[in-house]
Amino acid sequence: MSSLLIITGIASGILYGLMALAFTFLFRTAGIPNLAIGAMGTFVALLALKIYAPIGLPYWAGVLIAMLLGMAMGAASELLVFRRLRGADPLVFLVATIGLNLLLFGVAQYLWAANEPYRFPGAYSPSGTVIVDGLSPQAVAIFIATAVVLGLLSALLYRSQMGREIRAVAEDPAAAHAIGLSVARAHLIVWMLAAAIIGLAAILFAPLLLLDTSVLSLVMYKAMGAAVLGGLGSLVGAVVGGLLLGLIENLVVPFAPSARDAAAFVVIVLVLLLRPQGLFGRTQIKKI
Amino acid sequence: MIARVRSFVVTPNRRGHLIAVAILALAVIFAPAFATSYLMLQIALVGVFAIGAFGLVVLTGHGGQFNLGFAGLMALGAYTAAILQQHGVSLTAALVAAVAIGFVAGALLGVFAYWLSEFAMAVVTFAFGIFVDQAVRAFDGLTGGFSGIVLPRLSLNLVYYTVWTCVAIAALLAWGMIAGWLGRWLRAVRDNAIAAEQLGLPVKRVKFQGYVVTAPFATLTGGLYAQALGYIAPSAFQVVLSLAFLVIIIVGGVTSLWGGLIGATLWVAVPELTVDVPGLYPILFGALTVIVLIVVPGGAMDIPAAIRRRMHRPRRAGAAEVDLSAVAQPAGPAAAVRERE
Repeated sequence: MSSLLIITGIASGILYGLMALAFTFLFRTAGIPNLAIGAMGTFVALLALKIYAPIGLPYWAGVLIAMLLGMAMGAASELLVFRRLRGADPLVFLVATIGLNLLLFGVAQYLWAANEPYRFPGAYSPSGTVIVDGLSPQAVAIFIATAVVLGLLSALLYRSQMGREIRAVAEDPAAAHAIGLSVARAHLIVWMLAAAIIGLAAILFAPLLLLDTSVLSLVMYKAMGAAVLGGLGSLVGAVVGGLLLGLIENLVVPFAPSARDAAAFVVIVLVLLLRPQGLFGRTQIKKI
Repeated sequence: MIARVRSFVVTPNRRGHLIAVAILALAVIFAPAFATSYLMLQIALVGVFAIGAFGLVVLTGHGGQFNLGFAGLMALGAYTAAILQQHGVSLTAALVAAVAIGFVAGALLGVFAYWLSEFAMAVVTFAFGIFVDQAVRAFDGLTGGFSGIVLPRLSLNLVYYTVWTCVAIAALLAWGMIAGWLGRWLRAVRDNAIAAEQLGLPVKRVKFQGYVVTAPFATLTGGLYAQALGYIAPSAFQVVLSLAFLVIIIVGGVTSLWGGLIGATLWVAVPELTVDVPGLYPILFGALTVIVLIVVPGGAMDIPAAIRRRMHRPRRAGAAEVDLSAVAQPAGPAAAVRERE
């Protein structure tokens, strides 16, 4: 077992984890299972590339731009679509995000499919540099960014007034509204934050992935799996779930190279059977 | 739309539906006399996708259960039929085998519903789809791997009429399910599982039965898809297809079989009309989905009712509010919030 596989596993695992974080955050606070993560990320990352590269701005400016674009896109999704659907069935949300995914994927294809895949200038200009075999500075940067995002998000959610409001709205929208909290505002903030994380994840991984218009959809499915693995609702669980998933599918490679994608999902199904609430989830008592 | 049962069975005027069925039947029977062979193939494909949509209308529309493994089920049916036909089995027997394997796969998936939540089921069925896809690529001795299988040549007429005979049978069966005890039980589980359980309904068994009886629709769709294409490969059953089926039934009207047919028609027709522009097809379909959900939550089948609602609505009420009242369940915190806002 080479350390290379473990390092690649962790690197791709963090991508799943960061995406799963965005998925879990939105699902938990607004009840929306967002299947548009893949297309949103692709769209934001490519748009950011088109903005910062021609001007000659550094990569980190691009990261910032991507996060801002993500926020704008999250706000637009909430204001134009999901605000009008509030109170609808989970199925409606699911299909709405699938529709959004199709729409953004189509726009990305129309605008950028001709020249794909795109090569992003990485965080450190000689993009070939490695610290250890398989571990690039970019991967380290991603690792740090994920830890920071997780920390900030947890602090925001559990240590600030805004976080308390968001949690109150997530727990019981009617009661939160009754005590004067704005459900609309909480959902808007949540959407903007979740979409900013999606943008961040997409642009951080673009230099490693050779971004094309469809590569992030498989990542999105894995991220969903990671979120479920971590027990939908636990932010730490999402990141750990992503890491586990990345490790498992890379460690399977020496034994059965073609079983890479299947292995990850077999593990998810097994975990669900043993712990239906996921690794970090709590069992919820249903109210009648 | 989940909360409201808009099945055509339940509406009092069944006559309109019978007339529509008769017109559709005549159109389908006599279309080959006028249509080019290309158009005939497209009409056949509409029928192929409609069958799968019928299954999902029963399971998701009436049962509220997710199955994101539809592409996997389709692949299963398609490869079962194709491999049998390669070994000289007749078309009818191959399709029957495809249906049979659908029951087996449905039972396999449905068992999970005994101890998993709806959302976890979505992930499990999705995993099943990925699993089938990988299995098809791995067992390349049997399935031809990437290069796929070329089916025995069938005449277009045979394919066309076989498909639409199957559509008729599938529609009848789905209608029977929706109108009968299974549909009633599924709707009870969908609307309030806890209340259903209190009333003595075996909720988990109902979910299981829902998966078992609807999976064959998907495998039959796969088997017929193989006949219509004349050639199958793993790329024909990408996971996106599973999501596409959800979009198909939502666009048409999630609890209506007509809606499934309308959705399938759009799914086949829209790419045909937009081949020249890259990306236009997903743009149109995505936009259509989102707009339908916002403007006519009941899907295409709900358009007349939505227009009526719009014309009779009180002057000062917002459009979204009026439409949402049709979607949301009457009880629950979200509804309460909406009322207060």
